[in-house]
Amino acid sequence: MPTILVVDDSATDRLLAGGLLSENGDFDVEYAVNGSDAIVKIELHVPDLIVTDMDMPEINGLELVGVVRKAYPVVPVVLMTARGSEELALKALRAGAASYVPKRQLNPELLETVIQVYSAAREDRGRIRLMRRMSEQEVHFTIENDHELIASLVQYLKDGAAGMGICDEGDRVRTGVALQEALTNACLHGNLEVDSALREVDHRQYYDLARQRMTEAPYAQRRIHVIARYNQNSAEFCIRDEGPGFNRSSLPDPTDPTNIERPCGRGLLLMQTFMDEVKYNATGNEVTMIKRRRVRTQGSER
Amino acid sequence: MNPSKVFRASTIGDVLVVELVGVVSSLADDSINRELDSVRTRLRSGGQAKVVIDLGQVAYFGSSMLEAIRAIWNELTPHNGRLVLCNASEVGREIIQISKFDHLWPLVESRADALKLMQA
Repeated sequence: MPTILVVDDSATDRLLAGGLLSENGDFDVEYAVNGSDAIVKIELHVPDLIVTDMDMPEINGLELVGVVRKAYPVVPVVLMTARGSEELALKALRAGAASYVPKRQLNPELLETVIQVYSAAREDRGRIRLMRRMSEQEVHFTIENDHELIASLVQYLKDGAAGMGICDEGDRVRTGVALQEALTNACLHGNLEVDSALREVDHRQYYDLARQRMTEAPYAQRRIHVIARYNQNSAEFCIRDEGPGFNRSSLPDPTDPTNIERPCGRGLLLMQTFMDEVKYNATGNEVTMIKRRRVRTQGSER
Repeated sequence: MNPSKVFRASTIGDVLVVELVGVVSSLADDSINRELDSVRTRLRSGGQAKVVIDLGQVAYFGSSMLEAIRAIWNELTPHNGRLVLCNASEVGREIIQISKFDHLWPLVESRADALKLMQA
């Protein structure tokens, strides 16, 4: 039977939540009196799902979400929020909590929410376990200069890296940022040959020219080619455009204090910072970025 | 009126609060550019010189969003305006620090902190 850990420093609220969950007979419920106690309990026995209050002493709900996401990424966390803690709840959702239920609506929302989250997590867990057993894969894409396609491709590629366990949630996001920058560069600077200098004049002119060239020869016919290679230790992304290439050394240094307000080179800086290795071909129309696996986290597979 | 995809603006006192509610994939997206222009027009017509950019609704953003913030800042500089960033996620904070934008504008924890700073 699945186990739910209920975490709340109020005994009354703890028992109320636990009672609502155990009533239907499908869950075993365990309890922790605060965030620190929860961490100790989880180390002894990893639950299938955690329900936690937000506002607790020592380690609050937001901090507990952070700890669980890092150490036990397949265990979903549902928050119980009191009035006035909505901003904190949004932060916790962004940090990886699965859902939240206002305390004034625990009955009937808590049980419904937990059932939904648990079902989704169980499917995810099965898929994650399977993907962690994939030894390698290689995918090829050829796409047009289309920002929606680019966004979808970023999602696909970063999910591939996370699915094979190469990166945790934080690094999945960072990988996505780097991929977005590389693909946008391939589109705007590579295929459409829109010069960054135009952005310094008026960003509108820059993007108007980009939109115009998306339907104009020869720019519109150019494509972005992507090869992603995943294995147990790394994800490698090779992105090539069909433009004439560029000279990276011609870009001003965006970290130079005199350039901070200029629209220059920030995308490349994010790529270099968020990926473990970035290299270009001689022409400058192909970039290869590598993200390597960090140390496996405890409890990442069950 | 089309709902905002990316920027949601509201006024609190003499401060324009611009909330980022969606990912700015590219400013080549005309709808995103129109929303940005709408914010800039609101600044010009309202004569506001204080802007808080609330990053709380998104887990991350890229150079396009940084550019959008810069475009908003360009509306403020002729009037000695002020801009404060708030509510960034862990990765969002990293992006701002990598880009050294925290050297230009304060980056604080919450919207309340940002508004307090504006009144200081």
